[in-house]
Amino acid sequence: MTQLEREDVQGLVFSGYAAMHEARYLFYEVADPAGARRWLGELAARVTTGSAGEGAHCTNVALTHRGLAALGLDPEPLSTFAPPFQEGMTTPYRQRVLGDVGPSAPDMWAWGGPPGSDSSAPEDRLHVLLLLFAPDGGAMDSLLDAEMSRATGEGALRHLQTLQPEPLPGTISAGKFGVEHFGFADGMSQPVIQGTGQEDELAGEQARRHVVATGEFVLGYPNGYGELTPSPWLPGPDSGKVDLGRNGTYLVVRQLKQDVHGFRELVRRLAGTVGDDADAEARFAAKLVGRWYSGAPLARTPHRDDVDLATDNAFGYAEVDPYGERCPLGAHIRRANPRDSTAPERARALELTNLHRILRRGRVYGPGLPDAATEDDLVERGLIFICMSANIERQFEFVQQTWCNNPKFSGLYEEQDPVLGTPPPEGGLFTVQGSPFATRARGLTNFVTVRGGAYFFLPGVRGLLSLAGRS
Amino acid sequence: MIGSSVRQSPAVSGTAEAVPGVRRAKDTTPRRRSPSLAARLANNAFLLRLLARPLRRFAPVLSIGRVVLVSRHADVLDVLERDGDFTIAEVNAATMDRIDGPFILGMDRSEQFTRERTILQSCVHPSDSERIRTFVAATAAQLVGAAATQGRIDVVQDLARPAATRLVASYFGVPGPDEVTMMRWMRVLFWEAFLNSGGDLAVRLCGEQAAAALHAYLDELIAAERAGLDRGGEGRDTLLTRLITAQADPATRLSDEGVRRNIAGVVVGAVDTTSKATAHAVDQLLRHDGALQAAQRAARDGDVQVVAEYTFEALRFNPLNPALVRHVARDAVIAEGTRHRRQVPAGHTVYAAVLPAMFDSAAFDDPNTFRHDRRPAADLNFGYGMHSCFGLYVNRIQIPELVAALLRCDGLRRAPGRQGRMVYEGPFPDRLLVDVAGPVPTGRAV
Amino acid sequence: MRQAAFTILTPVLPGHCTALSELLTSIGDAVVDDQRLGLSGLDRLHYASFSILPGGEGPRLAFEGNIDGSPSAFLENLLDVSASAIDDVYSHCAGYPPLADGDREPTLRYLLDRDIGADTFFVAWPGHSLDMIRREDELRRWIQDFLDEPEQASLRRSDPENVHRAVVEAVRDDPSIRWALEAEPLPFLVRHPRTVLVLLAAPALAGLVAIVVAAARRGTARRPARLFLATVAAAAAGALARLRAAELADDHRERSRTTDWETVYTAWSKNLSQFRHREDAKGQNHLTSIADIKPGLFRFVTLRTVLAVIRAVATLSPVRGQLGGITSIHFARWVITPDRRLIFLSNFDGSWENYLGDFVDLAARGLTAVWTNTHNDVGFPHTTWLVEQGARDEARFKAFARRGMEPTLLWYSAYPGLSVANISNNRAIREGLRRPQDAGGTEAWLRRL
Ligand code: HEM
Ligand code: HEM
Repeated sequence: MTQLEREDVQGLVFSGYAAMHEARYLFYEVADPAGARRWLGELAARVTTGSAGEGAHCTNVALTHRGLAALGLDPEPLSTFAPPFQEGMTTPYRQRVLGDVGPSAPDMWAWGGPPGSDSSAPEDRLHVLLLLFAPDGGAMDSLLDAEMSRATGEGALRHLQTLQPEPLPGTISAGKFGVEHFGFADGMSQPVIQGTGQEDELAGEQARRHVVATGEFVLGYPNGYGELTPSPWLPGPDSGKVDLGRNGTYLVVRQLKQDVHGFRELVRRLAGTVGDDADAEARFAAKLVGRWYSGAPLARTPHRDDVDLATDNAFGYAEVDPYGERCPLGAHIRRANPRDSTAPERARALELTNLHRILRRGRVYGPGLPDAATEDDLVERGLIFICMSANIERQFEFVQQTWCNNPKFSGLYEEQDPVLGTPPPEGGLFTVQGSPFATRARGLTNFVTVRGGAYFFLPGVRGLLSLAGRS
Repeated sequence: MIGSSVRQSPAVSGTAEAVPGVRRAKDTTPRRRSPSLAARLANNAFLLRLLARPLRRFAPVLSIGRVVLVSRHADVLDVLERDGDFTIAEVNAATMDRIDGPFILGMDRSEQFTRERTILQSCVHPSDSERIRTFVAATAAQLVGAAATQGRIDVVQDLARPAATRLVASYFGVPGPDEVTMMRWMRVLFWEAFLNSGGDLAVRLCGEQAAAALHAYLDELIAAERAGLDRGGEGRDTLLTRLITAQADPATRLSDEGVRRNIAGVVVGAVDTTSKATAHAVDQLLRHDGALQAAQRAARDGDVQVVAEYTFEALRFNPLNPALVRHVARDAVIAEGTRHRRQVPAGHTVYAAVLPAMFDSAAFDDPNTFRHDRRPAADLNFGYGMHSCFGLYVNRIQIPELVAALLRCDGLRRAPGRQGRMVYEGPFPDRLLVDVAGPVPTGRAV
Repeated sequence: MRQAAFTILTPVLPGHCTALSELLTSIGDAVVDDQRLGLSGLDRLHYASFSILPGGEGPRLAFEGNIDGSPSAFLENLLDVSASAIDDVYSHCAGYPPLADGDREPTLRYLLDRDIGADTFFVAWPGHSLDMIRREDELRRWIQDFLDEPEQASLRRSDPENVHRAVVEAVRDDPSIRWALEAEPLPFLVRHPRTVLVLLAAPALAGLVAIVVAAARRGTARRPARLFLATVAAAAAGALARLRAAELADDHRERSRTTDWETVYTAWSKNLSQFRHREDAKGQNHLTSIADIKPGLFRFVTLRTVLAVIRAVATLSPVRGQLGGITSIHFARWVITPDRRLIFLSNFDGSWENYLGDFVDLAARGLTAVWTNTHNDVGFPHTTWLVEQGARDEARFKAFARRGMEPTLLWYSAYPGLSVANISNNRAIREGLRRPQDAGGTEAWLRRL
């Protein structure tokens, strides 16, 4: 197999930069195409790649389809990018695929909305995403100053908006990024990319369950089918092609607002469906997500939270829990990654689900709602969901559409992902399988609202140079 | 007493709720059925040894379908050592999860495995050996004494199972609601956990019900022990209370569930293994007349060390499991550099056949002869490599003490005729009847 | 009751395409409430679609129906309800006799004469009539609601047998649902096609083979029998050689093409938006696709043979509700048109991406065997030995499939809220009411609720 060219791949593919507690995501519009290309060419030398360590701070850059056009890319190469990336996230069709309806409709987004909407960075002007990471606030301030003046100083780019995730908590253990706003530990389950060396650090079941082909996340390498995912290209010398996609990948960004108060209310209201003991509330919340607050998977410890299993990710469903009596069939993590339960034969099932993995790099934004809060403080908070995949349709959109939002997932009838879904006005349904028969929790409300989103392309370093016209 | 309080109190945990009262009434051991051919073969050590020789000789790495059978000593050690290639999670994790929650025997090499095994180990104290010896010797003497008055002893039901259950109560700290229930739980759970590879539905159901009941019981027990420890004086010193005490130190802190998972895993592995091993050892000694007499002499002389040598040599002739099972995690080669080198593809199952391996003349001089003074390192009775038996320090003392108590009886012999044959229930000896003329009154010398 | 398929192909009058497609689209946009065609009022119609397909002599209208009972009975019924709308539609088609004085007979004849049926017709749950599917879903809801009543809370702590008994009693007590306790078995032939085959055909076939082989050994008929066997073997070898030759010719054509498939597809993909008008609007989707059969008799015969094999496997498979491992198809059909094209029409659960993904992941061989005999300007991926590679080239196969699609102008589903799995689960709930049939007994039955 071809060796993964780490030095050409942007570092976000390899790491969520857990040591970088501060992050800023900056949106720019191209003001001067020539200047912007020059800026991009210089930036290529500074971007964090997979070969060097993380250093004092990290910088990555991604572009939208409109951004590539604004840089001056010709229509022909522009049409070689993946269709969802070309079309953008706001078409009526993608709205249906992603379930962006009602309060999540793109017209209402804070950024990335269709041209003419109230978005601060509407789709047509959202061109460049600069991702900055630094270990602390001080370092972030100086990094921001420096990068901002490079980008806008000579009028190459116009700054539209900055997303500011919360600083990560001081201590990070076992690769965990901490806790999302509903209170669950997050970031334990990730695919492991073959060829990154990360697969050697894992042992046993975990390695066998989560290692996926390089080409699932980096263009230019064999994917899960052993084929190359179509990659964008530029016309090259002698009517040949320059592979623009090699070592690049697609990046999905979605700002997901969370109604924490609503979630807690609901858990309190419906906890009775899973018992009346002291753990009932925590257990019901865990049933919705599929892991306990600590992160311990229900498939492993169905009755009670067990912090020793907080980072456990070596489990499957087929053998211990085929009917969802531990982890409900419709729980968030079981939908988002049904592991070995999608086909009669376990090993094959695992292979099939691993064709639909995403690499998550989200961070939370907005202050946490105090535990003691008795009513909603109306402060916006949520998750800046970032994920990567080489094939947007087969990976990110598939997970969202065919697994999370699909009422028929796993033989169910009429319910969606209890965390992400947009239930009907009369309230959503969530089935908790159990013995002797299932319990149906009714009256689920909408907890997660999309506030913005876009598809980006995260080029390799050589790809950046080609775009800058410097190759 | 803890036991009775548990029995009377309403169910507290989610588990118990999930198993409604009506169903608990059906909680019995799986019904007895006539054993299948494969089961009969697995229980017949003589036949297995007979098959082992041509196997080692002509097909040391035999591959049939998705199963690979490894029978030479060196290769067996190799397989058990290479825990990254030949893994255990696929074999044991799911059943461990079902009956208990994650436990070291279902984990591959990982931080969690090392941590939990180390914590368990740290709760074993050097002085435990003496404590175990005193307790087992007394229990065994008492049990043998009681049974011997009838002139006939069932090694399994009258001696080994109750003795092991009592050690679990006194040393591991899990008495169970009562001894009979505890014995039944242990058997059903051990069966489901390690031996129900065919996924027999009846076994599974019984296993799950027993698991739920044990789970609820342990929750209360742990709470009661913790309360006792908190009050100070009342604290007992058992493996369980040590695990609870160890929670005070972050380095050895298991979560509350972790304490339950680990004590349950240890306890489930303790009773029926011991009873099976004891029955097998006695059965083999009865088949080797010379050895039997020498062992009896040692027992009467109070030389348990020598009895131990005889016991474990006897066990070699019929070990607990004829083979240990591993999953091939990645394409691997077995017996690299030999003429019988073999490529095994990922996804296959490997049987590391310890019984044939313990008759491999490359590792054992004159393997077919009963010799009590063999090098113990070559002994695979208790597994090998990272999953080797945690209870070994107990077994070294307990099994020989149980055997010794029997050997001290005058006129020890197998019950005549059919009655003397060992009877299995599934994979467990259910009965092994021996006749005695009467026990030797004192424990030590005549 | 048996399910049947009709595929009515009629040439569209020159210049009428736009008007016809607008008419059908306008009906299709509100198909559930539509009164003109009134499809939702037809109690024997599972799925129907209209689309305009390219043809040798110009575009043709394709009307697909998946129905209970015979096409003629269904079409008569359709004309009873909506003769004038049918008239509106078909007045755009060549050779159509306009409705005169309410005499529907000529219209019916027109439609029936142009029905080319299906070469291979797949039905997920043969024998399940629309009425049965709807009633059984009603039953499922009824039971779930019953179990969810606060008064039944005590059942949660009860034995599975008790719960089952309580449900059965409640059903018996409610006259509106009591029907569910009566047996309503599927026809024997539907349930046991394999048994029939094994009992009848297999011995006959085995006997024949035995006779020929025995004859070849000794006796007077030795020579002709040997000759026969040798001919069969030679024919098989010849067919394989011919197949490889055809595939190598395809590879050669692929190497000498002037524009590569990615460019072709990229250029075409601008058309995608016309499909997305409706795609994924509901939980189910419809796929209309058409491809040219590769030139020559060989490909034609191969395709026919493959379709026949698929038909046999699908009918005889002991596992229902799946086609080559894909469990999301309600009704699907392959139809070979007189002008050498292969139409594929499918009514399935979930998204296109999921559906095509299943093709690649689960049924690549079977589908390769079909579509490798066809082409369009993207071209079917490189194939060897009829079933190897082919659809496994995920990206190109999906591009080929997309390129072959035609917009479905009007599509009707009688139960958009029920998946293939839901229907069989409902059926098992119904059957289990009388006696749990699952291997796990009552517990397994309760799990379905
Ligand atoms: C605010 C919204 C969300 C919340 C609160 C949330 C929460 C969580 C939590 C607590 C976990 C368990 C941690 C882990 O296994 O690493 C998880 C896992 C996961 N989530 Fe989400 N999530 C959200 C949105 C999404 C979205 C939009 C997607 C993609 C479509 C997604 C896909 C996944 C996946 C793939 C996993 C890993 C599952 C596994 O491998 O077992 N999540 N999420
Ligand atoms: C006090 C009684 C016993 C206890 C507490 C006990 C406990 C354990 C534990 C915890 C393990 C798993 C170790 C790991 O995975 O790291 C183990 C493995 C093992 N034990 Fe024991 N055991 C006992 C008695 C016995 C007896 C009597 C025998 C046999 C004569 C035995 C044979 C084995 C074997 C062969 C393994 C290895 C299994 C494998 O590698 O697949 N054990 N034991």
